[in-house]
Amino acid sequence: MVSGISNFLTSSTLSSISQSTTASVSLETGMKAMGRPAFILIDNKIDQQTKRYAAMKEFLYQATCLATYMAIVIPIFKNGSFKLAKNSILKNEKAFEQFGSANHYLKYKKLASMSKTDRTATLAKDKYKNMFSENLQKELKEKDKPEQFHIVKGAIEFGNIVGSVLGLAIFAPQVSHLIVHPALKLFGFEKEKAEQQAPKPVDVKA
Amino acid sequence: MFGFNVSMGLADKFRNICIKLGENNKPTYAVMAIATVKGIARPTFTMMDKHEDPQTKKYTALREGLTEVVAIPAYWACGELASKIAGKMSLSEEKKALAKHNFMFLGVCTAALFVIPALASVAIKPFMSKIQGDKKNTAPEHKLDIKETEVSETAKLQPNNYVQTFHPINMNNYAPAKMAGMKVGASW
Repeated sequence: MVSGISNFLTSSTLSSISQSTTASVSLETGMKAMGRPAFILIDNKIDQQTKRYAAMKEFLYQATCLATYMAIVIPIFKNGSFKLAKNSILKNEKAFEQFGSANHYLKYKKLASMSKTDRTATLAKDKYKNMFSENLQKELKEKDKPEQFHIVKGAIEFGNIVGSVLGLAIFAPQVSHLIVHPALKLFGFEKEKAEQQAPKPVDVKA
Repeated sequence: MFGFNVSMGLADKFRNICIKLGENNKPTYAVMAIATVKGIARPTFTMMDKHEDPQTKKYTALREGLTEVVAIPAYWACGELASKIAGKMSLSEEKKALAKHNFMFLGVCTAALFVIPALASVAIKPFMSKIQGDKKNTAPEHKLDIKETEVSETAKLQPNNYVQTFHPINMNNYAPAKMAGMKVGASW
């Protein structure tokens, strides 16, 4: 049990998630989408109908933000920042010449983070045979710790941070604002809320 | 010539930022940047809403801004504190570096899920209630118009199913006027 927790806390998988802006922001937003509605639902001070409405609204807001972020923001900014750095801002950097796209670099990075035995076994697979240039193949096959090309990773992460900021602070809330209320109506939550808030009719004849 | 130097300077700065981010991209960077822009953008969007009442807009914008003001140091503090805890664990240098990074990420997640909502309810709610209370106290008193008087009168009306009940006088507690005087120890 203790060793399991220790392994989790020192795992390289968790480290690679936390080193990647998109992975960490997506995971965090996913946790918010599940956690915040759960906390609303266990609050005993709020009545049942309001709790369900608030929890559903919070879930839909976070889920829409996550979907928008993953579908639009990640691909645009990840590739955009790589191309911007390669073709204009850092066009004299030799590191960028080795890679055709952001995904190409990320595949290299994944292999470079593996142990030499695992890396060699993976490189033997057909799909990796012509993926990298001779220099990169040599780097991956011969060195224990291959070159990481930090400047390329940094350019991708810079774009991801800018994309996360613009996406989650400005773009995604506007999109979710358009989606959340129709979705709540569709699930019958807006009607319930309106009925709950409306004053009860007074029976004059009684 | 001057423009060329500026663009070279910017390219160098960008290069340095990229190298730093590539070597160590802390989980706190992204969340703090998001919180900073949210702190500016959300109140701005709220104030731009033309359909909302101005007082409500001001209240909502202030509340949104304050939440993000609380969130920025909370993310930083939780991340750094968690990272420090990992630094005190007895691990090899390589594992310690991984643990520091992982703990920082878990600290940021804890801040987003627990610490910031708790701080918002502990610090912001009372602050906003105080502001609202002060506004209520300083608000000028208005005389009631006829409609308001009508509403208050109708509120005092008995319900439709109200039945007038008869309460007979309890003769044991009743003392005739002739018994009233300077008598000590009277029942009333």
